[in-house]
Amino acid sequence: MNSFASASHAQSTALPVSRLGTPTEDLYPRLFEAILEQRIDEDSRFTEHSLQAMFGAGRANVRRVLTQLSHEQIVVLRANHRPRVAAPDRELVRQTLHARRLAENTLVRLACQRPQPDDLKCLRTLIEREKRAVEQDRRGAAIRLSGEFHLQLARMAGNLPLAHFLRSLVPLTSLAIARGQSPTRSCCAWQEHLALVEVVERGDACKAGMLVKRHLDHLEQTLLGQSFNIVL
Amino acid sequence: MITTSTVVNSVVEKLRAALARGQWRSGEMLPGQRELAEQLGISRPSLREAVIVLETLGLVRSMPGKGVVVLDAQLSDNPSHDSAVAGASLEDVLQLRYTLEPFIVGLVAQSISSKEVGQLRLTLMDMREALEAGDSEAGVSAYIAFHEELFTLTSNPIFQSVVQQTSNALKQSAEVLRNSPEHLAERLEENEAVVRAIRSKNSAQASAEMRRHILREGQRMGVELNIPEDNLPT
Repeated sequence: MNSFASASHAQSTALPVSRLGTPTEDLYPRLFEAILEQRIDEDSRFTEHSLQAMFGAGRANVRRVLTQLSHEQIVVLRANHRPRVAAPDRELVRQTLHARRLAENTLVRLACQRPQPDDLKCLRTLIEREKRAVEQDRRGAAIRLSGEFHLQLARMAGNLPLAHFLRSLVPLTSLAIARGQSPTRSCCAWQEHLALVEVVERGDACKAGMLVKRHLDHLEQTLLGQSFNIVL
Repeated sequence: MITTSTVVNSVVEKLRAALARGQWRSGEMLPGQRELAEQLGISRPSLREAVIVLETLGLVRSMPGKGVVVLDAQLSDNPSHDSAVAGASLEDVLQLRYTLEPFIVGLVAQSISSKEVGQLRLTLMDMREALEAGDSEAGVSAYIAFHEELFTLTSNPIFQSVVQQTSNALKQSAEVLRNSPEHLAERLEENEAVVRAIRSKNSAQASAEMRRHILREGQRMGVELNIPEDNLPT
């Protein structure tokens, strides 16, 4: 019946069955959530090899995920050094949030121009998952999914390089949230995301831009605990 | 009944598209034969034929007794980066520039030293020389150098990934830039206006000049720029 049932006996067939989903997409959230929950932090000593053992993943897979996390500024990779988890300082977080305001203001407005039912559904599913993670007190997952919401919204805008730029900013914000003491629900609340989806669905670019700005201002206040004065 | 080759071709196209989307990345195994055939709604012999085609195209390799591994077709350590640029239209890039560069020149205007102003003006001088020599290729290089210099001057690590990306995109669109040498004079003039504002430490003016430059750049390239309204409130 189930085509996965035979996986363990499948060595002899030409095309063995892989695990559900692609391995990278499987390992990435697991590793990132371990970092967000500070089971792996900037003082942790780990290697590609120990990660392979810890997560039961292959080397190529571990490498790929580490490369992705290094693009996202979560992991620092240097030749002849162990990989380590980044420790963003306040200044970097502040600059990251500035850059996010710029990028997301454009992205969300573009997303309003062509909201597709499938994309909106995808956003709502992410909110559902985020909400459930908050309720189950899975802090790492909640923070990661909250970031994924912003990235999914960015994909809807249809500007690949700009969405890619945001991809280098959002996870770093997630890490900053994780390192902070504040409870998950006060940081990047799914309620705010839900309000945003409704506005995007209506195609109200002006309101959407405003909501995103408020959302990020709120986040900055929680993370850096002070009002800010940026001149745009 | 559909002929086998039609089935195989459509499967090849589906798998190619999935690979291009990054559904499987290099080094990963494709799902098992039975699962994949089921997903695609085809027979296993058709799937095997499709895999042979993909193998010929250099996208996958069949490893007897192991499965089908996805190859690195992007020839790059960082495929996500390259594909972001490769999939970008001129409009995407101009939109990206319009989003970030006015802000960046505003930052630069706040913090620039006189030595750094000198560096910026050198790239402008290169542009002027190229203009006078009628060397449009050198003009394009100087324009890209000016653009990179601006990003460097923010000394903000966050923008480093994006400058690489936009520079690459500019290089890719160099054909378009080069086809319009008569526009080099305008481009130079607009960039001089940006630098003048930076020199007088006028952030708002520098941002406004950069916005104007990018909008004009769009017009020159014949790209209708979709700029969401009141995008960058001042």
